[in-house]
Amino acid sequence: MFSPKFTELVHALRCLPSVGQKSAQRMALHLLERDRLGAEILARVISQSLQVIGRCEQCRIFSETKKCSVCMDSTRNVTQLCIVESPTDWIAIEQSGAYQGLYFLLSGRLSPLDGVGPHEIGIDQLMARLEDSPVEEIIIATSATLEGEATTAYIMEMLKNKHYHITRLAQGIPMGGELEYLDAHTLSLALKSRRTIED
Amino acid sequence: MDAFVLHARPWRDTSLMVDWLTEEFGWITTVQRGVRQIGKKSPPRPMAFHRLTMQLAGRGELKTATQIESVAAPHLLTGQALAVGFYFNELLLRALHRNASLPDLFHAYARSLEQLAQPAVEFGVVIRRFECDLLIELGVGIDWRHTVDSGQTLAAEQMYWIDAQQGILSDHPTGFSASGRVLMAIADHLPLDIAADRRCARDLMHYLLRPHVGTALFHSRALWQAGLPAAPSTLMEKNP
Repeated sequence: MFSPKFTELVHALRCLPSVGQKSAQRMALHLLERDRLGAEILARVISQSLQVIGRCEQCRIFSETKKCSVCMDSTRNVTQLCIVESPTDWIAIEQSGAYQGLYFLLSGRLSPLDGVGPHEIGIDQLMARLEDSPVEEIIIATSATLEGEATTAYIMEMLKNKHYHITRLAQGIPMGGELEYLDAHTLSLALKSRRTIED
Repeated sequence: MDAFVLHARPWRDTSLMVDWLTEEFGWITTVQRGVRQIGKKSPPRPMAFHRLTMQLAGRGELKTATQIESVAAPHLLTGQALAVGFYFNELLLRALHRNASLPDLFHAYARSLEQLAQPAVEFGVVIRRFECDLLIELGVGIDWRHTVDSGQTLAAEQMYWIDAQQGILSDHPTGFSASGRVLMAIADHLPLDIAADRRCARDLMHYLLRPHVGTALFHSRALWQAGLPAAPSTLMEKNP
């Protein structure tokens, strides 16, 4: 319908999540018709980002320097290490403001039926990260799924006899959640991990 | 209908493609739209190892499971039991064909999960029994108590030959060899005390299943071999 380059642009935009043919066309038309400067900035920033953004050598989160800002921050508690499955989990915990320790980012979680094993998610790098580190507490913040449970069990096994204080995010009733609408798994876990009410 | 989730994988941006083992239709696949949606009250994702009831909706070939409800308390498998559960699911997805009614296998699977959820479980016994049940459902079950060539009852200390097509043979060197002790333990769902016998039973079942599941590595076995703890690993019990 339009030029070959326009078709190429639409096709390229479709690599973004949730962007189908129609959305990609709309974006391409918007950039060409209404915001050519914005398009130039976008192209330049994407290109620069791909060149300069790598991974933090310590926690594996995206960073422009060898160590990310969190790992470089001297006010963070270096004795706590939180293991997360994805950058979005990292962001979610960081945005909660409730955690002041350091992180380690896995590349997903163990999923035998998808062919994802310990090597694929970077357990080796985690072990290397812990060598000669001042970490005392390890917080395993994997998802509350069976794959998350398998990942936790595997990490636990790897850390056996290493004298870390290992904790896992609590599982149970979400804020605002009503019991009658909870699924059986969640309710069962909430009952198992019930805690004593302290003054 | 009663069903278990075998596997769920992301599909498009917000949906899941779910493989089920159902009592009525065996292995089926459904698409669960919107269950991965963020920031919206979406229906909970059906989880594996949990007996559910559901209804199939939709006109096309790819249906959607609706009205998903729990039948029984969920089996919270952890550690090695979880690795075995993954192995069962991997085994079924490799061995079965879609839409073949297998009610006996469904009940064998439900029984095996219940056994895995017990505190002191003999994993070897549960695994071998389920593998035997699967072989029967695949139409290649063998008589574990008698030889097919001479019709003799097995003797514990005698060596036998097992042929994937024929069954147990007394004096026709072919296929796989095992002692009567190992074969009788498999038949009676009993644990084997000697490690070499346990390995023999495992290798024998792998030999019998190979034509149906292929030779590719089972990823769940790798998880098992990593030595996950046999006891529940739930940290809440360690850190109340």
